[in-house]
Amino acid sequence: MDGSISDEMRPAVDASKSHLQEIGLQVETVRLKEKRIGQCRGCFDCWVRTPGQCIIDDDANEVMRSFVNSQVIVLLTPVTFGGHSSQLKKALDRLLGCMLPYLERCGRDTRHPRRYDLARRMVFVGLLPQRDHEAQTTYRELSKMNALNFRATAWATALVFSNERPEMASVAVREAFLEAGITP
Amino acid sequence: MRAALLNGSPRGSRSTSRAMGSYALEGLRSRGWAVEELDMCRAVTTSEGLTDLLALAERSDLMILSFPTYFDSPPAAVIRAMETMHSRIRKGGDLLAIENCGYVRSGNNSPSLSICRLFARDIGWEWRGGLSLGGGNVLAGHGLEEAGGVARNVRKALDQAVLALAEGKAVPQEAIDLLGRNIVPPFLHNTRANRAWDRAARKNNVLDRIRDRPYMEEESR
Repeated sequence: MDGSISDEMRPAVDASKSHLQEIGLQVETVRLKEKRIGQCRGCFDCWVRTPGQCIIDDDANEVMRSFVNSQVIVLLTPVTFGGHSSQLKKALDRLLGCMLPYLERCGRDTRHPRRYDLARRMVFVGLLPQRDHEAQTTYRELSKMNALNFRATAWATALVFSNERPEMASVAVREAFLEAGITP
Repeated sequence: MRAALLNGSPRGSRSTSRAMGSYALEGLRSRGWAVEELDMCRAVTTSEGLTDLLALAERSDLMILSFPTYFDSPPAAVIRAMETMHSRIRKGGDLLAIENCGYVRSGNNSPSLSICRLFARDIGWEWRGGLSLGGGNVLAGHGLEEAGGVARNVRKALDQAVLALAEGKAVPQEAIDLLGRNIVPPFLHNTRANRAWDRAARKNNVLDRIRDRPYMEEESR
């Protein structure tokens, strides 16, 4: 899921695609800026009125189908104040229906159970203009919590920088895939 | 002095975010501040709304962002509003963030809080602090005065925060810690919440379908 606004994430997107294809996975790239996705209304109808299904009829439903049927999810975004871009966040907010409404203990914390059983690995790729310790720390923390919330079986974060050579993005992305156990 | 509440809940006036934000706003108003309010989720959908948002931010000395945490960070509309303000706001001011999440542990708002602090840093505003509530659904969008004893610590924390802000100070740690306490015991919170979801599904005649998997490709074939 590519949450970039222009082509600034192309090296990271290309590196992700080629790595996944090399290990034999079928890859679908969702360019969110080309999708018509409305804001989550916070109505919880996807939990208690039309279970698993958002009542808004737009491209977010197609994104949900891809998300729940994929073994590997790669989220790419320009790091925005340490978090996801609004483009990516709009799609993530609409994925609420892939969880169940119930609360269950998960270690010392509470989480929602998964609606779908598929074991999923996640890689978070964030782009920053240059190194920024606070933003990097926040993005890593957010990625970890997202992975726990989506009940990922393994995950990793890659940070890439606009002021560094594009090959560096490829290296960072590949390292993250290895860390998340996404190997042949 | 002028304060603006930017409500980032898609549930608008029926939300816990608005209840907490408007309580803080009222505290400032009673101390002689001019106060205004804007619904961010509506504002970001039109160019007129974005213009209003920018004008409001420009004329405010204190901006209060109040929103629910969705998937560990502010809802998309809040981030969109931040992106717009970042590129367009010229004037400085103070920023307070008030976050609430459905999980009982307020620590689940931690990335949201950091995001707001970095937003303040990047637009050159003074970070006055972040107040973080877990189990926000317990308040069910009711006004804090109507919510009774369960909201006692919430009111107290916001009163302390308002007092400090009115004097141009940062939110005291005591208020942050007070609001951060579990609003109800975790076990009780989960049990009550799970029953409430069952009740809502039953009311809509979908309790037997609550675990449906409409997008599971293997099952639909």
